[in-house]
This record gives sequence, structure tokens and C-alpha cells, in this order.
Amino acid sequence: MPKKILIIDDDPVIVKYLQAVFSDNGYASCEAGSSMEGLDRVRQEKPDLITLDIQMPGEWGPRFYRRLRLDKELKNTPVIVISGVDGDHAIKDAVAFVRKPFDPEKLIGIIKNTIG
Amino acid sequence: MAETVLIADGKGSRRRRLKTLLSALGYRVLAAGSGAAALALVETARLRVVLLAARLPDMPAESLLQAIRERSRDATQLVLCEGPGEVSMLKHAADGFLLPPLHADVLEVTLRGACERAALRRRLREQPVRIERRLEERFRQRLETERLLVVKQIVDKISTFIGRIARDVEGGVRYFNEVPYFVSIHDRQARVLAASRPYRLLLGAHAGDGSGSIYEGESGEPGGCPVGRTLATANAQQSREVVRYRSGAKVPVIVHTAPIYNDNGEVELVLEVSAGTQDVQRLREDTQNTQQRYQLLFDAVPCYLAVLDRGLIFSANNRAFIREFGDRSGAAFRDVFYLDDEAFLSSPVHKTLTDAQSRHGEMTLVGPNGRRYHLLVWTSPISTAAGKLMQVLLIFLDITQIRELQSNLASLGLMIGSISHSIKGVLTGLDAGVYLLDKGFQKKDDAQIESGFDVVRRMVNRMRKMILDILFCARERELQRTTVEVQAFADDVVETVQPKFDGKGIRLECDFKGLPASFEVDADMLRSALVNVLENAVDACVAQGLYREPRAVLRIEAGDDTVDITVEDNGIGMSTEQLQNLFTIFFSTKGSQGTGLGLFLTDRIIRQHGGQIAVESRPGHGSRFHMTLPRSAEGKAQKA
Repeated sequence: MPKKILIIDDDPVIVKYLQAVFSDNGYASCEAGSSMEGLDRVRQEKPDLITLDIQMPGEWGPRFYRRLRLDKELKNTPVIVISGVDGDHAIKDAVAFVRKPFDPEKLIGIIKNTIG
Repeated sequence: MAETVLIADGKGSRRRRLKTLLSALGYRVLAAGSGAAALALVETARLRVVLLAARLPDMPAESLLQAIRERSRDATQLVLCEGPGEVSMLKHAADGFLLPPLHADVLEVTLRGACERAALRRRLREQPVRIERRLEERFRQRLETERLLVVKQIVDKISTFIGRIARDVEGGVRYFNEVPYFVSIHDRQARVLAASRPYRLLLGAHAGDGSGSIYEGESGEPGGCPVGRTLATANAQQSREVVRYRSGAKVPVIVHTAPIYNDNGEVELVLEVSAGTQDVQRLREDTQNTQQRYQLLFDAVPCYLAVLDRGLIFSANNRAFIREFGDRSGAAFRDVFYLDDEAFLSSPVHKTLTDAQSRHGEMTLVGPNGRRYHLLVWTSPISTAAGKLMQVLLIFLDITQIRELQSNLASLGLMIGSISHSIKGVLTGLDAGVYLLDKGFQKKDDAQIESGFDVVRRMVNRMRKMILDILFCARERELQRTTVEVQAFADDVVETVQPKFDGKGIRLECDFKGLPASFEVDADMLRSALVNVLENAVDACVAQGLYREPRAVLRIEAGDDTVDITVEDNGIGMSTEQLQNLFTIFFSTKGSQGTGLGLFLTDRIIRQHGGQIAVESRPGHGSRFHMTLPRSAEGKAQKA
């Protein structure tokens, strides 16, 4: 069974892009736009990894991350931050911090190292 | 000196005997044979003693006694009687009696007593006169003293008065106090009666000196000096003279003299006032130089300088101030500059006026030209020597440009941040499109190829809009107004945004009233302003999700003078905080999707057209943008 990645981003183009990259590399994916949709999806889908855009309306990214870390079941899910914002370290123990625009192969490399 | 005795006796033998006897005793003797003759002699000499017979040929002895007493009050009158009967008859009128036989020794003693008595009586009579005379003399001296005192007072008063005038009056006589001025009063003989201190000290002249003594040349003569000429003509004089100081210095002066008249209209005194012209001239030049220097300095300061009096009225403005705000001397501060009460009460100007302390701070106020000024203000109290606040000096440094620059720099920083973020988003999007295309071609997956193209196309559109916004923002375009049909304009707008609404499945309802009508607008600019609002409506509906059927309404209503445009959506709405920042440059509610330029530009364009924009919104319920535009360009365009 392929590993599942949750894509959290408000830009549908990025979502479509990441979906294509992940499926081409043998991962399953699901996605959440903005809003609190994200947490529900995490509980539902139990993804192996999450990519998170922290620059979303209402400073939603960091808040989502704190909630995630408070949840016992979910707090060990690795998170990769993919963002256009430079040097935002609100998310300290993210697996990686990937800046937009990103190289898809590098991103896949990080994911493979993290979840295989 | 021999005492004079008058004998009045009708009996010639006795008269001659008496005369012989008295002459022998050393008296000067006048003899008369009748009362009338005696009276005639009374007036010719000062009589000591009168000897008269009790019976006279022409009048009763009593009448003669009476008449003599009236003419010679001191003389002792003795009556020669024949017997005691005559004595008792005249006892009230006579001083004494002689009875026969007339013994020489008795006569001698009696006459000596009578003389003494007359002298005593005379002295007694004269005594009060002498006292009176002495009093009169003393009184006269006192009057003289008092007159001098009064004169001295006048001089002192005039001196103080002139001094005070000199101190009080700004300008012409300001320097008067600084130069020695001489005030003196002279009598009718052209002599100094009284003089002011400088006159006495510097000129060395004293009361009693000739009025001309202080002058050089012809004016030194009593008749030629100004006082002399005034006495001669009884008219006020003005002349230029040269005085000689006690130190020997010769100083030119201007002399004014004025006659002072007594009750009879005669010149009684002359008032002379003089001051050194050289000193006046020099001081005037000094003062002018100093004033000029200060004025130059005041004008040359590259800040706006102004002096405000306690009533907030400008009393002076420097050149920089006048160049910027016009000459506002006499105008009220708050008529020249607009600022609200709160800002005024907390300003350094008000504080300094209240407590006379120097202050500095920043003020933002609107000038008479309608421009907004950011000013750095220093205030300095101008007080009298007694510490009473009279005026406030204001020093304004115009930091409007610095503030604008700061704001521009801040905007620029924001803009670079915002733009770089947007560009990153677009680049990532392009990466996405290219990746999809690439993989699509590899897998010969037409759907993915098309999806890749779609992404590329969208990214190109997003980039175009971004670039146009930035260009709009960077350059404020002059409006190019043309007369436009409202219907045609509305159709144009709808045509532009319809695809975006359709793409998201959002219904756009149109509601036009009052048409046909036209308005004078820059159609291109206004279209992009409106498109921004409508596109925001689409985004708001998308963000709200599919809880209800998304829709937006474009309502246009043409009135007599204005066109009202309303855009309403039932999208996600905005919080109060978002509303407050809505028209701020680079403020975006849309994260990576927005540049923060759209509504900033919309607001600017509407205001450039002389219109207004208002927004109502509730989070979760939607937003309503209401714009009012004047139909003609007459509704004057405001600056953005």
C-alpha cells in the first residue's frame, strides 16, 4: 500500500502540481485547502506525511501546526513546510523547510528519506 | 536828634517864654497861636510832645486834642491849664496837665517823661508792623524756595516722563533713553533755575549760571543762546547747537526751548530740552544695524519662523514662512493652519502658551494651501524682564518630505516583499504547469497536457495583472475623461468579469436603473477599479465555500448629478480589522493570491474621479461596496 501524503495549500495550482509529483513517484495523496478542513482530514486520512503552506489567509498555517502537535495520535506525523515566506521559524521541528519555487526531485528526495 | 515839641497857645507871652525854655532844654520847638495853625504844623514834623492851652482863640481844646491825635498818633499831648476845673473837663482827652506856676525843672521832667512816653507809644505801635514785615519776608523766601522746588519737580517729572516715553515707545525714540538728554528751566534773566542730573553732571552747569554758558560760539552769549532767543521772541525755538561738556568734549545737540507764561501773559520761565545728535545718530545706526542683522538672521533661517502673541495672532513671519504660507502677520494661527482641538491642545504651541516653557515636538497640520504638513516644532517663550509671557517664537522644520519618503520607503519595502512573494507563487505555478505538461507528454496523457496548459495560461494571466497593478501603482495617471454611456460601460465591465464568475460557478446579477445616461469618466481606469471589486467578490464567494449558492449583484443607478454603483456578494465577508485596512496599499486578505494593490487602486481611482467609496461587511455574511461618482468633471477631482 502506497504511503499517503496530505497536501495543505490554498492555491489549487500548487495542490494539482504536488498531486502530480507525488503520484508520479508512487505516493498516494489527499488535500485540504484553507480553513479548519485540514485537521479533520488528518484524523480521517491518517497521512504518513504532511506538506504545509504556512502563508495562508488568517495565519492559519502555524495555528494548524500547533493543533496538530497537541493531538497525541497525530503529533508524530512528519511535516514538510513548503512556503514562499523566507525564514519563518514558527514551525520549529518541521522535517524540512522548502521554499517556493521548489525543485520536485529534491522534495521527493526529502520525502523518501523521511517515510521511504 | 532833637525831639520836636509843638506849642499851641493864644497867649503870646507865655508861648514865647515856653519856646525859650524848651529850646534851652534842647528841643526843637514849633509854635502856633491858634488851633488851626497848630494843626497845619502837625503834618510837617514828627511830633513828640504837643503843649496846648486849655483855651484857644479859634476852637475848643478838646477838638484840637482829637484832631492832633488823628494826625499824630504817638505824640504826648499836655494841656496848659489855669485851674483844676479845666483839668477835670479834659481829663479823658489829654495825656497830662501843666498847672501854674510853670517851674522850669517841673517842665523839664514833665517833657522828658512825655517824650519817653511818645517814643514808647510809637515803638508799641510800630512793633506789630515790624513782625508783620518779618513774616512777609520769610514768606517771600519760602515762596521762592517752593517755586524752585516746584520747578525742580517739573524738571524731574519731565525727565522721568521723557525717560518713560523713551522706554515705552518702540521705534523712533527707543534709543533716546540711551543718550544723555538735558532738561533745564531758565528764568527771565536767562539764568539756569533748575536742571536735570545729566545737565548738571555732564555740562557742569549750576543754578544761577547764564543760560548760554554751556554753549560754544555765539550761542554762548546771554542774548544769543536758545533761551535768550526764546525770551526775546516769546516763541518756542528749535536749533542745532554745540555744547561743551565739563570734560572739554564738544558735542552737537538739538535744542528745543519753550516759553512758560505767567498770569499776565509774560514769559516767566523757559524750558529747554536738548539731546546729543551724534549719539542719537550713532545709536540709531547701531539699532538699525542690529535690527537689520536680526531681521537678516530671522529671514535667513531655512526653517519657518513665526512669532505668535498670546492671542494666537501672528506678529512676525520670516521669509521662508512667507514663501510657503504667505505673510500672515495679524492673522490668527488657527485661521492659517487647520488642526483639530485635540491636536492643538496637545501641541507644543498651546503648552508653551500655557506655562511659558520651551517645547519641541511634531505637528501635523493642514496649511492655507490645503496641503498637509508634517512639521517638527520648537517653541520658545518670549517674556518680559518680569517674566510675563508676551509672545511665543515658533520654529517649524518641514519634515513632510522625510515623512513621505519614509512612508514611500516603507511602502517600497512592503511592495518588494509582496511582489517577491507573488512572483514566487507565480513561478511555482509556472513550474507546476511545465511539470504537468512535461509528464503529460511523457505519458501521452492529453488530460494532463491540457491541465498543464491551463495552469500556464492562468499563471501568465496572474502575472500580467500583477505587473499592470504595479505599473498603475507606481505611476499616478492623469484622468483622461470622456463622455461615456453608463450602459456601454457597465456591459464592458460585465463582459470582462463574466468568465471568472462562470469559471467558479458564481451567479452575477445586474440591476441597472436610470438609464440611458452618460458620465464623464476615464473609462479604462474606472473599469479596472470596478473589475477589482468584482473579482474580490468572486474570491470572497470561493473562500466562503459551498454552504450557500454563491452570487454577486452589480447595481448601477444613474441620478441627476451622480452615478451610484453597488457591488454586493454573499461571500466570506470581512472582520472590522480587515475593513479598516482595506484600502491600504499591500494589504491583502488573500495571502499568496493577492498583491494588496487592487482595492488600494480602486480607492485611488474613485477619489481621483471626485467620488467616494464605502464598504459594509460582516464575516460569513458577505460584503457590500458602494461607490458614488459625480456625472460631470465639475464635481472637482480630489487628489488621491
